[in-house]
Order: sequence, then structure tokens, then C-alpha cells
Amino acid sequence: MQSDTTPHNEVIDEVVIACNPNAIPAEMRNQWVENGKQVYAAVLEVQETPDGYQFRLPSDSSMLLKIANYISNERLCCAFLHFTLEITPNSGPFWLRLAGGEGVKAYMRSVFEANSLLREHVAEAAGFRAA
Amino acid sequence: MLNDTTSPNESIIACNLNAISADQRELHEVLSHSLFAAVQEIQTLPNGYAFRLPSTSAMILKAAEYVANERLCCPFFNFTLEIEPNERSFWLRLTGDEGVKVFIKAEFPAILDPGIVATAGL
Repeated sequence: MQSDTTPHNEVIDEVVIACNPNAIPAEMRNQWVENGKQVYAAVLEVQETPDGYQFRLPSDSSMLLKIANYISNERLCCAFLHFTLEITPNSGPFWLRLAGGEGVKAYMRSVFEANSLLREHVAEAAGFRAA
Repeated sequence: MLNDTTSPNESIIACNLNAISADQRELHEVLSHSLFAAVQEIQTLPNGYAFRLPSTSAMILKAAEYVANERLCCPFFNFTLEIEPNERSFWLRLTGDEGVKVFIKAEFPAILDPGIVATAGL
């Protein structure tokens, strides 16, 4: 997850959850950080899923490209994440789902709570504690 | 995609290429051909098809660019990009209501690898 540019690991029940920003090409790192901030700041709603969270985003083409750009780098940094981006028909919402194995959901929650990536009212509605 | 069709149950599946500008249209056609030429496997779903693509960052961006235009032309599609962990598979799913599957079957084989189409029975 996108908290900073320092590699960090977390071991929960033998599952290693490791994000390594150095896996992203150096020239892409600033863009990855900026894209991530913009994507999560645009989130309209967060829903909990059995193995992660899903984020509702505005359905416009520029947002779609921004999300794809973010995923294309984030998947290198946090290789344990399973990304699903759903573009619903008739200009319906976009849903970005982040999921993973055991420990991933708790890890995601800790990152969102620590980094204030989401707008305050969206984070509150999702039950995330403020940093 | 390029044409309109009607499903057996009369639900209208219509693509309107005028939803994107003439310049974008030409690029979209090139992009569509390039994207679907890269498909490595097709799976049939109850309400559409899933296309497995090379799991690279460039391909994710290309698929997103395709979807960004295709959703304007063919708003009846539900698109899903699924990027599996550890750089495993990348799937683009096109699904929708009744008639969508028939539409895909009619329109997409022309831009897919014939071998992949034959294997999938598309």
C-alpha cells in the first residue's frame, strides 16, 4: 500500500505482507504517489468485503486511466494485492476492489488509518479511525 | 466495437461510434486490434467472456485506454479488469445483460487470434 517510499514488511500468521516501493521504476515513483493520492481522495464510498475493501469512484474516463496507472505501479510495489476494477454499464460507478490473503485486510486498514488517504467523511463512514 | 445487433429477446445492444471524436475513433480501432491480438486465452462466462492478457503494466494501461473509449461507444458493457497477485494473470472481462454474449461472439473473432478463437469455441 502507498504509505511512504520506504520498504516495510508485516508478518501476520506466517503470511508475509511486504510492500517494496523500490520495485517501481525510479522515474515512475513520484507519479505513483501522486496518482494514489488523487485516486483515494476521489473515493466516494468504501465497502468492506470478506477479503478486503472496495472503493467507489467517479465514473469518468480520466479517473479510469488514473486508476489503471496507479494499479500498474502498485501491483509491483505490493505484489500480494489482488486488484479488480469494475466499470459498470451506462456510466455507472467504478469500483476498485483490493483484496488478498490472511492479514491483508488488517494491513490495508492500518495504512488507510495512518495515512489519511481518504476524505474524512468517507473514512468515517467506512469505520476507519482518524490518524 | 463497430456494429449494432439485437438479441433474440429484442433487447437492443447498440454501439455508437459517434460517442467519441473522429480522431479518437481511428486510434480506438488501432488500440482495439492491438489489445485483442494479445489475448492468450478466452473463457466463457454465464453473461459474457473473459480475455486473458499478458500481465504487464503496459497491457493494463492499454486495456484501460480501450475501456475508457469503448464504454462511451458501447455503454451496455460491464467491464472488469482483474489483476491477480504476484504478477500472475491479467483478465479483461466483458459482460452484460442478455444479448451481450451474442454480440461479442458476432463481433470479436475478427480481431482475435484465430487459434485462440477456435480453442475457445467462440
